[in-house]
Amino acid sequence: MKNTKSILIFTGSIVFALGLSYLLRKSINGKEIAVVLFALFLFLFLLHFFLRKNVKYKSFFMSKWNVFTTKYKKEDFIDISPDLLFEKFIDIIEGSTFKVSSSNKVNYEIFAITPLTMRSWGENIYIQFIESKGGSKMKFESSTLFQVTDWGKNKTNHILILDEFNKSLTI
Amino acid sequence: MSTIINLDVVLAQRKMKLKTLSEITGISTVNLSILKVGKAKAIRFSTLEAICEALDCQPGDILEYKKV
Repeated sequence: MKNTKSILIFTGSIVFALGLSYLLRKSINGKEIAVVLFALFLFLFLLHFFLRKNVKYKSFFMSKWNVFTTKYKKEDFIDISPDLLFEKFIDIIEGSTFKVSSSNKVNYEIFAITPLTMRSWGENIYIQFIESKGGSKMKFESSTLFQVTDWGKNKTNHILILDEFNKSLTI
Repeated sequence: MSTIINLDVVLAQRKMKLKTLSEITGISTVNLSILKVGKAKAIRFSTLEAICEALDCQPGDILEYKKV
């Protein structure tokens, strides 16, 4: 899957560069193209930025066709019931740098975001607990915002949350 | 070898609910529940003291060691 995405991005970049050079040669004023390009990227960025806080657009951010986000998915088994884990993880997330954007106690779903900083546009984190073999299966999904590479941030988020959870088991 | 948590037994003897214990001790209900079901990795002395004080019991009433 990673290779497919890389090939798609590479091909897209080549087509984009060729198209741009063609347009620049044809265009009387290269400024027009620069403005159009800037507006296009600004639109795409704002689209991602405004949709990020709504859990409804999870599929948009996690879609393999969205080449502007980097996704990370991991499943873990924890031998604690989903209802306890749900409450526990909300406590953990609220006590960390992440912020709980929305949660659903019926499906044991948590949607958290990391704030926008100078170093990052932020990440969206989706956690769901599913009852399994006397414990819970934790589905962790993390997506970067408008970035084609995550520089390991998504994996770090996963490790960070699990570390905090393990620490919190000392009561 | 395992350590068994008898918090539910002591709570039943004192006719106290977990929520009440949580309010008295200041320990969250989730943490007490995790402790009660034996999924906690470790327990702090301060937690043990708070529970013992609230339930008027000894640490031995809550913790039990059994060879498996």
